[in-house]
Amino acid sequence: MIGRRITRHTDPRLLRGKGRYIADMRLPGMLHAAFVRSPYAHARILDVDTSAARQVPGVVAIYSALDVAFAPLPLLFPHPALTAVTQQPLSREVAHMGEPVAMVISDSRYHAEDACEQIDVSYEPLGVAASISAAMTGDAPLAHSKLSSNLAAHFEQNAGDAESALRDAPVIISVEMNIGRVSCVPIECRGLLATWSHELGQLSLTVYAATQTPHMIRRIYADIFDMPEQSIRVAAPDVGGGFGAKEPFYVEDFLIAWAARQVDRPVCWIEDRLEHMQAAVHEREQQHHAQMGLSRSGEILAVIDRFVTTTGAYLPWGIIVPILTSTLVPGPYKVPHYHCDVDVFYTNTTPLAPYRGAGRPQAALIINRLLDKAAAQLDMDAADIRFKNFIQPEEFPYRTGLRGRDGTDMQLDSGDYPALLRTTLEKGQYQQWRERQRASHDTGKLLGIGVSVAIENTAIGPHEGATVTVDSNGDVIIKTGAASQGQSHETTLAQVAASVLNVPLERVHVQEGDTAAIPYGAGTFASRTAVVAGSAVYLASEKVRQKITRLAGHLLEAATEDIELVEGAAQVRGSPQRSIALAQLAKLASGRFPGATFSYPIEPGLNATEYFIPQGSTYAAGAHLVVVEIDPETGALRLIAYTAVHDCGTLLNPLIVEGQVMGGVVAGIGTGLLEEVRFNDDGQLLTSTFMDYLLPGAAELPDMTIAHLETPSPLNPLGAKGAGEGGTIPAPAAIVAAVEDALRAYNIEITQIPVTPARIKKWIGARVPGRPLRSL
Amino acid sequence: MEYQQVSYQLNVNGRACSIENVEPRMTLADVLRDVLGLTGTHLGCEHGVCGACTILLDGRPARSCLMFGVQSQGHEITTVEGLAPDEEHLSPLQNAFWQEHGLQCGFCTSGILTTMTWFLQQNPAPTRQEIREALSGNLCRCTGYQNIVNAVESASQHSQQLHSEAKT
Repeated sequence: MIGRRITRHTDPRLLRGKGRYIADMRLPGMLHAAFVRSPYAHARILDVDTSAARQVPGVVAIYSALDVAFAPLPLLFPHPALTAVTQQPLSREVAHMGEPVAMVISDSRYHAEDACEQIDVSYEPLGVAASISAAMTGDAPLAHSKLSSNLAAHFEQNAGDAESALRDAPVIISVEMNIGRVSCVPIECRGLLATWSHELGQLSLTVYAATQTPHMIRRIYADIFDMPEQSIRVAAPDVGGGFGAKEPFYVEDFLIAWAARQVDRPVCWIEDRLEHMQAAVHEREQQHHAQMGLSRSGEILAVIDRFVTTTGAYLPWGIIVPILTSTLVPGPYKVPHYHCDVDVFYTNTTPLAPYRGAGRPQAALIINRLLDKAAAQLDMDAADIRFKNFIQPEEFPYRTGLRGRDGTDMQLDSGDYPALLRTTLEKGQYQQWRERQRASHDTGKLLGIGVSVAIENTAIGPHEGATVTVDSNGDVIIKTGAASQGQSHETTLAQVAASVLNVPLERVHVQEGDTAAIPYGAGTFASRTAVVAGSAVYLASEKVRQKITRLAGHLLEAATEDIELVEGAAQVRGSPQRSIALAQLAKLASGRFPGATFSYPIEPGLNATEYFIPQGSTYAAGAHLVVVEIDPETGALRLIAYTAVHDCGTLLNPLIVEGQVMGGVVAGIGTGLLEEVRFNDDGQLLTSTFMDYLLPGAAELPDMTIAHLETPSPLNPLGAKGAGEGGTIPAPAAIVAAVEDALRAYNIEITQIPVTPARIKKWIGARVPGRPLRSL
Repeated sequence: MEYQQVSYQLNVNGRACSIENVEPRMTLADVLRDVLGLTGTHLGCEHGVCGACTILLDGRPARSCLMFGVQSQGHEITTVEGLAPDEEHLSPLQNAFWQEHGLQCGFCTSGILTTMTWFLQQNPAPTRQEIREALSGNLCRCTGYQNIVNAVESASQHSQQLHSEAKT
């Protein structure tokens, strides 16, 4: 069952429009919330006049910065280097455009928005630090008036002595890279529905939320409302994509639950797209200055990377993104001496936190650009310089000398990077494309080929649990703390249990994303569910299998080790006539009837709960080969071939993994070519709609070739590694390499992504002032 | 402030439906979702770009977020709930999406199914690039589109095969 291409359990329901997403949920008496949001990037709230808004029909309550005072949100992922500012719900000082200033609770969204329009807010605009460069100067306006500097954190990574090694290196390469900011953009925006009750005399809170992290959100509610976690249920219904946007705890998450208590009615809020672009987390934005020292034969001797970045106005998830970048610049390559120096600044912009890839695409871009530039200088092939510097298969576990995001020694578990790149070059027809490139000079179009290789530390802690139960009808129920936003857990996790228990797949059901299902959980992010939840399902299923064989052995008067599981039954090995159905065993194991004596050699119930606690990350890897064609007259760029080979260890379901990889690749193409959140100098968001913020569409993309390598991880019983983000990470690096390759006649060094047609045209124009392009 | 209310009839998935006492500004998407409970039509941007809310109006794709419910009086509306022939069977296109893993989170899927249902009626044997062009009005953030293209192509080939078998 594991490793088979199996179509998904959940699809017929979704294909009929019978999915149940947060905006589809209704409760009796439910009210709707809408927010007034700041039109300024930085301002003090002087007055909020709600008198006209209170006259709007349907309005139940209005809350503004002037009549409430809440504590700031808790800091997620603390770090000793941090000067932490987390967002305060309905703060009197707003620090980015779109920050909530007032909240209306009404009988419909229409009426709530009508009332928002009638609220008159007086602002005192404050100085704005709208960009990294504006925030870092000595006399920069302060992003928060209570701070004395915009610096949120400074930290370093060190392995060896990079300064000396670089100084002594015979070949030194430098790369500048200005990486644009992107938005997560799940097609379903965020949303919540909160309701309180006093059932059985105890105050309890239920929140349905489009979230990736139900258990974390429950914990935060428990802390804020000073309640036992057991009195709070957070449940994610079908969730329409996450990609990081639904991972943090936002001020709206607090405000909607708080408001539901105030009005004593269920309250829902469904984010609209404008709100999503303004207030849901962004990512990617970093400015790097990197250097690499090499031997004359192309061995890497040292890398030094200095980068500045912003966390926006607040810290929704600590400084995890720059930490990830700083630890992953060396990637799959042997870098004996490495230094990374990072400054993180507050700016009056939307906060940043992990988006699919989470700091790793930036790292991959830097190391791969350095290698490409080194290859050009040393007159080496882009693939050859990589082969020369890969960590070799026999060198695992490989210690990088760095500390990972949790402060422990960073150790790569397994991989075969030479085979990965070789497969990519073959599948992607690297040599053939090089020949076509040489022959394509007279077409007027410029052909470029780019290669990149990157790794991803997947499957992080703290843990994930699974309760596996054989129900009295013989069905198997899996309950886990993971939460799906479309990643097909209901199928892949079922495959794991079906394999261990040897039951038909259609009899295995997964319940997840609900704190009522299992006491503890972490959620779905960082490409972790197949490994961490999958291993928990494996361990729990194995425990259930042992209970089954012990009970069946007892009942069939056979030794436990002689019992085998066959298609929903336990039988004495080789004797189908001595068999008992799992349904029957489950009924007996639950106690035959009240008052009966329980005389079986197992704990009651054919169930078990196991938590899998990962010890270190599993390192997935990906290699991409992309071919682009550029029209030098217009800057128009066409992707004409794309090959991605991915190694996520044991494939639980190749159909699903390919879907994850292809989706990831296109997200990476967006970062590399199209997507860019832009603010003007006043901190006004210029890309608030899908007319201004360009997502990859079907027509711009070529058919991709996807292939897998399987080097199983030694760190979990399945041998799996994460698959959700691996497609994204190498993509911007491969694209930039291909564009630079296409433009090599102009000797253009790309220092900014996304690589848009307008930028390509500008770069070409700058290289050949006044000269007709065709004469080149 | 007072709100005007209107009542009207809509023809949705072959059934006459009474819409009673709603504000005339209520969008068709909200009427379908909130009045008729047809929540398979999803709202992804509410400015007509993402395509998730696409329904068929007299057989042609239309953004239900960009029109009012009252405007669709007298027209035949088909939503994603109206695509399958019955409770037991999916439409060939829906089935192809299932077989080809053409959906992940499922949120954009409704609008893509309605749009592609129309497209295959217009162009029963499209090339892959034609499929990609026809999909360009729908955004998907999960799949990378390739399996969607595969699904539409597969549905087209399947119906071509049935067609030629019926001829011979």
